[in-house]
Amino acid sequence: MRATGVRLLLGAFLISAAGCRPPATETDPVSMAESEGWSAVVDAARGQTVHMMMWMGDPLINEYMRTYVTPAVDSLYGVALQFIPAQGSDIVSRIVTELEAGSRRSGADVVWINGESFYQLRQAEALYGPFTHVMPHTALVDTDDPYISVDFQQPVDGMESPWGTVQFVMITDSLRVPQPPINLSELDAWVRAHPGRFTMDRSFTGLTFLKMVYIEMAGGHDVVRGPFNEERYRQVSDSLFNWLEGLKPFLWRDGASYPENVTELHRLFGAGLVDFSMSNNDGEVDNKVIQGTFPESAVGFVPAFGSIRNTHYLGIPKLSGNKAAAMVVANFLLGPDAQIRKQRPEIWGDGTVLDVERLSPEHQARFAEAVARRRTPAPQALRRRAIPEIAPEYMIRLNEDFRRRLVVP
Amino acid sequence: MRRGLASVLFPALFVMLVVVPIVVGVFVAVRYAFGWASVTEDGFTLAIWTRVLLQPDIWWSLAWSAVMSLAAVGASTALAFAALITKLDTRWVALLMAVPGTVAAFLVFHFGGAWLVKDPWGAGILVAHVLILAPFLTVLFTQAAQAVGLRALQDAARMCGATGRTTHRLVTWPVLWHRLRFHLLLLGIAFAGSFEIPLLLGRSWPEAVSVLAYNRFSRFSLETRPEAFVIVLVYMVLVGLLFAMAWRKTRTERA
Amino acid sequence: MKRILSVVMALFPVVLLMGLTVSWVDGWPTLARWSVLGQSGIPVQEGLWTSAGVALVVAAISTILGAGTARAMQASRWRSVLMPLAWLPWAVSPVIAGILFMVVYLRAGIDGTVLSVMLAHLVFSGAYAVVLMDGFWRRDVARLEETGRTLGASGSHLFAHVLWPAMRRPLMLVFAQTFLISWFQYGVTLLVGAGRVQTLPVLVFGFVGEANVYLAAMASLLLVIPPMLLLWVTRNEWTT
Repeated sequence: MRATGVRLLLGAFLISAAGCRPPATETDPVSMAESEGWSAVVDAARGQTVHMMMWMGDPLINEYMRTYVTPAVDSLYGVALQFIPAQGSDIVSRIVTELEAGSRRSGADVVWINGESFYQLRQAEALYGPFTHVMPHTALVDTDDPYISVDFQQPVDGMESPWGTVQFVMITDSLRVPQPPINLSELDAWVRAHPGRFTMDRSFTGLTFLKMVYIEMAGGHDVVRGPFNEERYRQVSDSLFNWLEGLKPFLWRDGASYPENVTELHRLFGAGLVDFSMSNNDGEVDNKVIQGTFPESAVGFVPAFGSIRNTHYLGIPKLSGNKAAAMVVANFLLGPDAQIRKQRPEIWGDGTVLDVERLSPEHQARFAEAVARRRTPAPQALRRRAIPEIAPEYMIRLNEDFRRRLVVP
Repeated sequence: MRRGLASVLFPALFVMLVVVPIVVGVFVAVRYAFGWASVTEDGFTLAIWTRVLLQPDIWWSLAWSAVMSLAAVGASTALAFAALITKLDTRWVALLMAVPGTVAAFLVFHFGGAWLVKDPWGAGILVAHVLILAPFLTVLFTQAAQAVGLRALQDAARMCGATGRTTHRLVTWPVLWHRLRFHLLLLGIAFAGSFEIPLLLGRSWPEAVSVLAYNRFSRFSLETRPEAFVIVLVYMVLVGLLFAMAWRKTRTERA
Repeated sequence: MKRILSVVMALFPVVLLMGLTVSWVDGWPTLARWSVLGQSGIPVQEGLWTSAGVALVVAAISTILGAGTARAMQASRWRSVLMPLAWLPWAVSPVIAGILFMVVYLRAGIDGTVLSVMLAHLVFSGAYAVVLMDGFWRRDVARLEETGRTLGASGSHLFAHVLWPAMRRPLMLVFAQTFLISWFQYGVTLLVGAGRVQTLPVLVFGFVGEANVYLAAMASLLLVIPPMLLLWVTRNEWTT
């Protein structure tokens, strides 16, 4: 009895230091917007705090978010923006754990996702939506564009708001590698001739590379599009991993260890320990040269068989308690000013999801400026060799098989 | 009156703040491990157990964690012992206890280069572990030596004609070992569960147990999440057994 | 000679870390980068206060809990049950505990808060405090209390003149050690804090992940120097 009493006291004392979360009781912002208009959502958002869960492995992206976006949404909408660092898979894990634990309110209000994180969150029914149709800036997006309306072969259906689009590039040093290999047989020959100078990371970027190799080995995107095909996967992945196993002794660290993520791979490349890096972002090279991480002679290129282009999005967890403010932030990030700024290579170099034709002439001109870059072909040229993403199961299976066949000795 | 209240209150608080969270945590782990809790499973199933136990990953991870820990404790013990018998100034060496695993991992990661970062033998992991454990053991050994009156024992040995090395072999080491073996076992268990150092410096496979559980919990696929809890339960059972055995064996000394 | 070796060994991590934070201007080293600590948006300062706040509260509660429980256990028949329980957290590595606690706290609606991080740290610090205080009590204090009572002292007099002087030193030591356990904690904080409670260890790893060496080194120095000072100031308490 006494013990309970004391515990309650202690609890009360500690809770004041805590900030317990009450359950989410907001009015549904989408219905609010549909009946009263977007301004009602903006009003409801004022004073709310948005916790954004995002990958924070790039200091320039973080700076864009902290020094530009945060003050802007504060002064324009009275919304406080805070960040939670997490990788895609961590995000899924946390949000789904909240659901499983019967949590009444999510710790995140906006999540930066795409592809398989979107897939898994939908599988777990963890996302709020559809919500993008009430956001004003959605009108500036070409929703018929297959690269935007379909995420990893799943229809977006307004369950996530597009934020940026990028295309995978290989990165190398033009001084060290004047004639980079542009297809698989050339890559194979190069790696064997230069042992220990090539590797891939175990995270999203490395897996995108594997997916591209998979698509090429399967006979091109037209063969692989559509839902996951188990039988074809078994055959093609077998050839893929047989090839990689043959290559393994010539990889960095004899293929026994791989960089955990793309940041580490960039570090190795920048330090001259490997001759290639890769990125899901075609703007990365200029961006990293400006940061000083890459040498001046770094260039980006796309293999002859094309590279995967994909769009990344923002989602809102179903259990978020600040959905109105979350939508306001997502809408802001979709706006022309934010998108133009984001596209500049010295800021981020992330491609826009906006349909430039729908913008004002002034915005169009600013976009043209922002896109200018030297070390990688212009986005328009790259887009010609773009391949869409394939079904999310491929990523999951390739990840598993990569671990099983290459990482485990 | 006061004694009466305190003698119930404090143990109750202790149970509530320390024991209950762990018990509830184990309950949660059981729910996940048997399929009741995860969104990807439909209710009671043993499939997760078979999946995990039949794969080599968990066993290699446990073995690797044990080896990693033995190496760390062994190397640190040797260094601490050397520091003790050469009478290094402990006040300075002990300042290194201010360096935690996180910082040790960062330093080795940054300066380690090819030899110490994700190297196949775990040399980087060993260096980082030794950096944090050896100073602590040095202090521990010094305190134990003092408590036991080691000096007197050593002098006695010398008077009987033993040389320095023989003294250390027959007196210093056995005395320390006898007094501290339970501590060393506990440290061994603690270091087998080491997380931040193998996370940053460890090779991709096998992963240390804590890293393995964490990766299963947070990595790509929703399906692997319950596996993390199976790993947790297996680890807890093994450690619990080790611990119980050690507890019984050394019970008389601590009574 | 031995002294020099000891000093060098003790200080080299700090020297290395300081070196990493130095930037070079016209060939001369400067500490210019440290100015970033004043900027908003860089959470290093917050990390320091968060770490300190959490560790202080955890240490205070742990010490009191440890002392009270140890004393209560002395004459109690529950000791044989409670003591092994105090070792229980050792069987769970911190990050594994973090995964388990995270789910528990989610259900209780308190995850990602400073409170949850404190509670999680308390599990480890509290258990450790109980074990330590039990040792002190049995070895030193119990006899004193007994003697005091035999000589006629009781109640508050006993406490103020016999127990408190004897307990002061062990209490300080337990406070310092439980403070350090919480101060250095990474795995538990990472999971239970859900990325929102950023203590210094969490920040260090975050900066390492961002390949931001300077901030990682700065956060590391903030993490290491206070304990180093604490250890130096109390050095006579635990060395020969």
